[in-house]
Amino acid sequence: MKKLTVLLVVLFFIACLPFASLATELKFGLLPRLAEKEMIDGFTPLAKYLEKELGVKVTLVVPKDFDTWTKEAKAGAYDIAYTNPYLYVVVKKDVKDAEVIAIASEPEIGTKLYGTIIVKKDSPIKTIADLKGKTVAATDPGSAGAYLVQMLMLQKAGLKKDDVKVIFEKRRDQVAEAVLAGKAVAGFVRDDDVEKLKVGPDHFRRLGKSDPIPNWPIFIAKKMDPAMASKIKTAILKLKPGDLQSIKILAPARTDGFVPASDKDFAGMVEAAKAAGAY
Amino acid sequence: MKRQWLKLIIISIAIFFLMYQDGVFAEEIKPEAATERITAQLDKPSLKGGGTIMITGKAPEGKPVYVEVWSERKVRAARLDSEIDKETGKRPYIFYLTDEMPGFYNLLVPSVFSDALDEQRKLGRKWSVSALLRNTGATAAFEAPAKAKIDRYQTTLWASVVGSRGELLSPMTEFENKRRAMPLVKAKFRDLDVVFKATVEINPDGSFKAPIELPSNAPPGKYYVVAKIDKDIKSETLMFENFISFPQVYLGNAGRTINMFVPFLLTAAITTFGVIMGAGGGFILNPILVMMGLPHTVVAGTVMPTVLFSQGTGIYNYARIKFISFKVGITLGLAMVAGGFIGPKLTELITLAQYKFLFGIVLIILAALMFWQTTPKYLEKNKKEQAILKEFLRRAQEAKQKKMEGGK
Repeated sequence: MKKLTVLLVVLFFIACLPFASLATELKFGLLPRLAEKEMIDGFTPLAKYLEKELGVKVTLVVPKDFDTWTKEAKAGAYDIAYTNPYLYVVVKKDVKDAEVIAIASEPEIGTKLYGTIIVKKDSPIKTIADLKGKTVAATDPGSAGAYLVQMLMLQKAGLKKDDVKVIFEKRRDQVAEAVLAGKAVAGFVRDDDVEKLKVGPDHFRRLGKSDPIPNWPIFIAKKMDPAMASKIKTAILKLKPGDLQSIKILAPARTDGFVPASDKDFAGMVEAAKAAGAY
Repeated sequence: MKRQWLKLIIISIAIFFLMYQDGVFAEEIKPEAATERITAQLDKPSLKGGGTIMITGKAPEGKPVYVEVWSERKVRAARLDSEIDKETGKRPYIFYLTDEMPGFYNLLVPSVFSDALDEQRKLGRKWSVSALLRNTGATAAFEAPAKAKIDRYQTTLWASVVGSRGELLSPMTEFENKRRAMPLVKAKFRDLDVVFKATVEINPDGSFKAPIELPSNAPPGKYYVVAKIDKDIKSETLMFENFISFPQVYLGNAGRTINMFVPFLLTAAITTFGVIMGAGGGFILNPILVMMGLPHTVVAGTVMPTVLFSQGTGIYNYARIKFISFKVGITLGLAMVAGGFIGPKLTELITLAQYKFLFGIVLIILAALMFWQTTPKYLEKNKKEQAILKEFLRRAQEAKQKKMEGGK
């Protein structure tokens, strides 16, 4: 009986080991969409807010690039993480304990992103199907709103991945310039970015608009003590979009609040990634 | 047994009735989304020569309230973008110009954002309108300057040196126009505290108040005030008027009101002093008017015609004593015509800081030259100059003598 008790106690502690609650620090992995200093400055108010709400130290981690972030997230280097919707589904595929908490809301676009395909205003291309055999420009193979959702649009229009030649131009303005210069007949950009193009939106016509995909998610990135996970969720979801408190904490991070989310919200993202052969 | 059944039926009917009353069987009617709105009012309809007006109102609980205030009177604002573009690594040399910038503009943000304003103050002259708007969540509230029609010109390093605006570029999108209006606001108003104030006090129930402070140099006329939560939720546009009376005079191209007594008395003193030194007095008047807060572009333009008066009388008197060499004068005058074309445009392209720097350098060089010319060594070397001065004094004396004799 005594041996059984000792065994149970040992098993209990072993079971508790992976939980982050044993640690006094939470690592918050941020996808480096801006320079490191800007990311740290932007997210420090949120880290401080979480420290106050959770009673543990929250350390911001900004890796050098997207690949490093993905590797570290998959390796369980972060307790909580903030990333684009595509990399969330990529990490989720490998890290089953990853659990989305919320989706960020941005002042201009809210909680959803849309992709679009632009062509020159006088282009003979009238439908997405007309892009078969043509060259199109996109920003980056990992871009959710400026490559992946458009590949799903192509698939829905009956085209296969190899039916178009994709060139990657890094930035939305370069994509637009490639279309204007005839280097590509169409460009993949985020729908809300069309108005922001330096050359102006008047040179282009939209071939279509994608189904919505969720904005950037914040998620628990590895197995965690349920009590701590619950506290994190509560703290994050207190930051409702547009509230004064949310803006005070999140405005420097170019966000104005969070809305609850589940993996169902990312079904479209998974579908888009599959269409692009990137899942 | 029957009674039991009867009781059961009655109880069932009662329960059913209560549930029906409670709406259990009713189709779920979603409550209409609460219409979020904001109301606001001002405590007085007008001001005289500036002052404070209080805005009070009610917003939904927990929401931020921003108050945008702008004058109906518009003014010119310009900026040369010559900073290296992070994406291209090149200097764009694009000149932005609008004649529709409000002469007065204030964006009041909730007092909880005073830290965000402090952060920007710490940056000194590098403070940024866009960063401030982003960090206070006020980007959507920034509307009046964003609606100003901004023209942009592609200039070059050389063109900007000679003061050319360059080639007019195609109109910007609404988004780009708003983005470019931000640095123009900074170029026009310069100081963060002139535009932004964290003075909106918001209570937990959503009621709010904020003082709108109009300085005495604010333009006269109508002012518009809108309290906003975001781009969609805003109060009706409120209006008040600012009256001014003489000696307050509104300078349309400077976008501000000044008390004319002060510059009048100053100019009288400066010109007396300037004429003694054989100058028009513009070099002294210029920095003083800039210190009074007038835009350097307007000061440079305004001082030119004032100097005309002292120059005119000077030319007349030098002609009488035949000290003017028209060959040299006309040749130099032609060069001045060219400078007169280039100078004003160049003034428009440079910032106040650059203007002050150049002005200071020129004054230091002139001061050094004049000081050097008073040293005994210089005077010894330039006896000829002294002879000319003596000759000038002799002729002036003769002219005065003749005039007196003629008068007799």
